[in-house]
Amino acid sequence: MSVAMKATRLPVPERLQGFDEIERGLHPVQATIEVNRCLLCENAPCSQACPAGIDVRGFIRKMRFQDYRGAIRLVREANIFAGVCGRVCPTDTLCEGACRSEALTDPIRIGALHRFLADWEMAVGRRPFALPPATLKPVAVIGAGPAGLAAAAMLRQFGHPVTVLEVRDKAGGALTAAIPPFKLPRSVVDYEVGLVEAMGVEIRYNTPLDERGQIEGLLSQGYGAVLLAVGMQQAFTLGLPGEELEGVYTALDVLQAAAGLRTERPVNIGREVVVIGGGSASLNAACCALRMGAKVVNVTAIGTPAEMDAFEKDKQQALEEGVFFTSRMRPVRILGKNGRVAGLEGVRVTWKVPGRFTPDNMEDIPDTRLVMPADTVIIAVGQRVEEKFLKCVEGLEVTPGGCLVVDPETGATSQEGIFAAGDILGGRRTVVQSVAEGKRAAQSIHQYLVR
Amino acid sequence: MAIYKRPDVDLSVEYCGLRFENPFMLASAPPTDTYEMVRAAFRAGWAGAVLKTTSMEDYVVDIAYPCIAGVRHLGNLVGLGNIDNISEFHMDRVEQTVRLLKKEFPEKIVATSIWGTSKESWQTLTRRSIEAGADYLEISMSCPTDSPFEGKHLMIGQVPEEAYRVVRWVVEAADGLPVVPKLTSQVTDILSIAQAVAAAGASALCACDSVHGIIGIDLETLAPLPVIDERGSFAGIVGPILKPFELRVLALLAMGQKLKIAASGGAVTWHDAAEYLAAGATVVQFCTAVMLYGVDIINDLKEGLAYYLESKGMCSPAELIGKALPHIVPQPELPPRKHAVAFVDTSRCTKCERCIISCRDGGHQAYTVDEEGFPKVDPEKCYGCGLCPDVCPAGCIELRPRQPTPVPL
Repeated sequence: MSVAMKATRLPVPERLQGFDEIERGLHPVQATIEVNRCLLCENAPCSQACPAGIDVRGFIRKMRFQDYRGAIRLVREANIFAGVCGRVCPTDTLCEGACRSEALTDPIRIGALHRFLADWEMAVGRRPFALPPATLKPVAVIGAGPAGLAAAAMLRQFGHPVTVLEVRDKAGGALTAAIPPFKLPRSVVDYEVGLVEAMGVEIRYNTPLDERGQIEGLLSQGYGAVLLAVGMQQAFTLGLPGEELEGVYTALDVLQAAAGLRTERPVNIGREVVVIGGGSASLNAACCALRMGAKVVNVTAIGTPAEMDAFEKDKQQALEEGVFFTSRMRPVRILGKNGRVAGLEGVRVTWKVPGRFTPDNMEDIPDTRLVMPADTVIIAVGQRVEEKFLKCVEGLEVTPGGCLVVDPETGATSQEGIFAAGDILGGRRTVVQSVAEGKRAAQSIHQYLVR
Repeated sequence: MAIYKRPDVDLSVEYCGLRFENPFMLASAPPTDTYEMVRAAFRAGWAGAVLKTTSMEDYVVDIAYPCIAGVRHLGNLVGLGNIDNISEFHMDRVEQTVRLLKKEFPEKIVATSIWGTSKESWQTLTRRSIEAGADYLEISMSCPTDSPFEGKHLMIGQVPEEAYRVVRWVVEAADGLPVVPKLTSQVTDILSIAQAVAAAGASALCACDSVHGIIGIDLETLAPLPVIDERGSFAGIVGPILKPFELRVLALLAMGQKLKIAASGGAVTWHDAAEYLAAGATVVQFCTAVMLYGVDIINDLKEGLAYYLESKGMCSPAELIGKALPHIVPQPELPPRKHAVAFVDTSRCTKCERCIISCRDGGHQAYTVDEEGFPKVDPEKCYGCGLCPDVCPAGCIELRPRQPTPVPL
């Protein structure tokens, strides 16, 4: 029992046949060995490192003491998205990064245990909810992603009737639209969205709210407060010549198509794909493309794989699955032939000052133009909040970058009764941060409404 | 914030005519040596506590430190051993503790545990416990750990006549306050002791005290652990290593006599406690688990037991008490057949062949290795003895019933 338990990973040839989940869960024997490795520290650093406030030590101790029911209760009380976060949380920088077992062996695989419990509950069934009657003031939540639903669940637990207005025909937000099913199976998202609905939270699908006055209208229709949790739905592009060609997509398009969601335009991945961008979304889109018919997928980025600002797990997966990397390249234009993508032209770059990876520190290396043949180009350079949405509420304070400004303690916007959480607040955000912000907003809304 | 409905189970039990809010209490041991420690435990949710065994003010209690060493098997802690003694705090201090606790926690059960050296001291300690407001009294019958009784290296609890005599003295002075002798399991016939103390007027039993042993021998100094100045002593062994022995004593007592039993020894989890209840205990005392994990394990105990009781359709721990007893029969009554056969799930097998070693050298030579290197069971040779599932580090072997019927030997 000296090192962390390994979870089996699906072999690459099998993976590429479809979107099956790559990482298998721990077997009960492995889970038992893992919980017995835990030091059960006083003032456990793992618990303190969890943005959602999960009592990590507490749930592991309950597992060690053979009480999985109690363990999943502890997890769910802090984070309704137990199965989701057990899979997608960057635990190596959070709970597991803080784990004191590191000094002896390896950090405890907290995420895997978390997931184990959620999977166990999905298999055996959950307990009935203990909910107060929904007699307090109603709350409207815009967006059924992790921030919105975490808030909805908590508000319902406080006793508020909650209505979630979702633009898509499916809930989950970024959980389905931005995280590929091979990392987070649809069934897990559905189960946990189902928990929120089973609490009595109503999710109204296909309900866009982007007309001026519609949000304020909710307040006059009897909702005591509104939570904006619409995420970032608009993908940035680079403004390169040729972006209008057939075969140019954003990472968001590809990830949504992979998830079986409606996309603005049909996504047809060709044989040779170039992905522009050096983040996890770029790598995820690359791995999706491999499963959508691509034979060659080349990720181009300014940074080398080692320098890329992406989760290590995503880098590892891309390398395992045979994604090519073209580093230190700045895309210049997309080449076309008969209206369809024919390649990407770029130029090699270097850093003026080594080790500082910022755009202003970059310079072209003369005479290094190169062309990568491609029939598909995927642009994965980030997302932003939809401008139209930000303009639909009068007087909302917005940053120059197009994100909402809120009170960091409460999540309250500059408009009375309107709160916000999740990606709409800008910056890079993990699912668990969104959950934490959703909970924070729910708490503030509750206090605001019962004041 | 609560999300799931808690089980609709009332965990309270009755023992010594007293209501315990749950069947979990602290044993007379280091965690109950001070008011502050017990107060913290009560705040955490324990139903009661037996204060650490005390004595008259003139009784000299010497303790050599270190007094604790772990009982380890291949590096794993499986129990604790101590060369502790009864409390260094005498009855005057314990009286204060009882008063403070009963004032602050009138609903909690506070018992004293006493150790006398004469009829007079036993009876004085008894009367002083009553006056202080203790709910009941425990008689430590095998403490101090290395106390030769009348020079014969026997404990009170090992001699029925002595056990009767001491319990009788205490009962006489107790004026109706429940008296609970804490038995030792290290006897030839536990029922003869139980019958003796019942005849003396005991209200209930506590089983058992720590088991006397030697923790280990340090091979450098050749002294027992813990080593003090190149010497050591006999120790009281506690903790999970005791569980199988505790279960047996509980079953014997519950099947052979009527007094209610507080289990003491070896319980760490709700699962252990549930087993003790099923074997006949009414309340379960804890010591080592608290010393290792802290008083807040009470929450784990209560929650785990409640889920279990609910899953069995039981509304109270009382419904579980003794439920294992009808299933316990003498070994010759079990039908001599091959009832099961080993099954290997090769999808998780690591090919370590530990099963093969154990079956070859400790079983029935039923295993071979197949072409792919996986262990293979010959059902003809396999007796379904039960060794290999527990040997398998990957947990991929199980016993499956022989279909359609058990096979004659």
